[in-house]
Amino acid sequence: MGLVNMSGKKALVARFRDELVKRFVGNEDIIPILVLNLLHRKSTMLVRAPRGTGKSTLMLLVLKGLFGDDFVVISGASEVKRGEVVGRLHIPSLEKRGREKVLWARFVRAQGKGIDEVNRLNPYTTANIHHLMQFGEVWAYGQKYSVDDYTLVANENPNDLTTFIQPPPFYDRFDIALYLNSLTVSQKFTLQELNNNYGYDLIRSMPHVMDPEDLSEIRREVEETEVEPSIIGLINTLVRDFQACIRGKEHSTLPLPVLCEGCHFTRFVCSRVKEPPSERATIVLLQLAKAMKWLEGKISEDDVIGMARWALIHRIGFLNPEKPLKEMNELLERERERMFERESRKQWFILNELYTNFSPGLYRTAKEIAAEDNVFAEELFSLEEKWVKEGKITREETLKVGLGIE
Amino acid sequence: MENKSFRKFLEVKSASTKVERQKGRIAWEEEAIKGRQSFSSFIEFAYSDKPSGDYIYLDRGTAFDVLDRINWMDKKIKSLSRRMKILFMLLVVISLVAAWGWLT
Repeated sequence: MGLVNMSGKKALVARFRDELVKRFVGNEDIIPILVLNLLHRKSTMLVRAPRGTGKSTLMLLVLKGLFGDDFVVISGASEVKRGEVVGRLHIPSLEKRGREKVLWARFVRAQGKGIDEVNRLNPYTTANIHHLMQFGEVWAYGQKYSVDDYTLVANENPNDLTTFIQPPPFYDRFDIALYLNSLTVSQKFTLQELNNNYGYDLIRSMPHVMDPEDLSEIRREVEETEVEPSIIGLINTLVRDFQACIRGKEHSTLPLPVLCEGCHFTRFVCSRVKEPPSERATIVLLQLAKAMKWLEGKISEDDVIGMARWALIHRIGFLNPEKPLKEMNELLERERERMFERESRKQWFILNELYTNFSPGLYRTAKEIAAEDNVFAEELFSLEEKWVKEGKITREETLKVGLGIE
Repeated sequence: MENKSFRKFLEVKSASTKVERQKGRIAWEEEAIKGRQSFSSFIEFAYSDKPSGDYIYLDRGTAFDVLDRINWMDKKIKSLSRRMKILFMLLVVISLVAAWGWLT
């Protein structure tokens, strides 16, 4: 199976998706993004749902389809031991030769990794897994083990009372977070039929669809896939929209919405975001865009906004966190309209003209646009700095001074 | 620091932007699309009963007009409040006088 051509590899991905869909009932909307997220190196995903909605089933189906029986799942429990997750000392080596030899746990060595109920992991284990995802290595007894490519699927029930509060940077290391809903009546019937057909063992029935070599080759091809500059621009602008704050939210101790009081940009998404997403959101979205381009041959701006929901939802601290999915959808809808407005204002065209040649008329227009778009304003600020140095404008004329920022 | 990929993005966006250059001026045509997102004029928003988009734009003239009206309303509110205070005091005085007359 290792030597298959380009279309053959896509067929493998399509087969994996079909086998997954055949066995996983309901929540069809998450399958495309789940599959795309598996197509880049060191893929990680978090499945969030209440108990009994299929989190573990989904995790096992994915791991079984990609790795057959060669994967390791650890269950999140406060008493999970270091030896099971990272490694343990080889006692005979210590006794006979006085050498500290570490037997690395199968979890760190396996390409297919699963964590059931990640919310129950004790802080020590979380820190080890966090380090693994951050630096691609684990440490035990002063020794290091570098982890190669892997796929990590974790799940958690946020309503679980026996939960440790995991730090936000830990969640940030998950490429995407998928939310599952419970099954409708007709879907329950479908599940019962499936259980009958597969002898109440859906996981065992899942075929091993691709070899690690195929997966690795696919990931290499996806990495080398190029996406259009307009898509990259959209990704960067979208993430920046969720990060930018003209009042310096990142370094302010004033909480929202107090900080936003009287701000010109309160209708933008920034006023509903307490904790902005990290740069990882940009990286993940680009990887997803590449995967889609590789698999489907094209990617649209609507696709990017659709994918952003799953890449941003666990990276953002919302002002109204009660219904994160609803809030995320609403903010992305605002973003969709904001992108439309940007197109209507021809603002990137105007910025490009200003980069090429300073024109007082266009600069005036750009200043007016900047009053409607804080992200555009940031770019204009940096151009203004250049023009002030070149003597084309005075500091008093700049937008920064005009807005009272400087 | 020169950012090549950002410039590339701006150039690609510019290449796909349809504008006309006429004697040092840049002009473009806006197509009026029937739909939610195209409805953003303040005048339409104020006088039409059709659903508008979430964002409404004001041209400078309309903005000044709105500002004038807000200022006029502020003045009017202040003068009316003053008038109300005077009327209230008059009412109190008349009531006191009436009460005095009734008692004596």
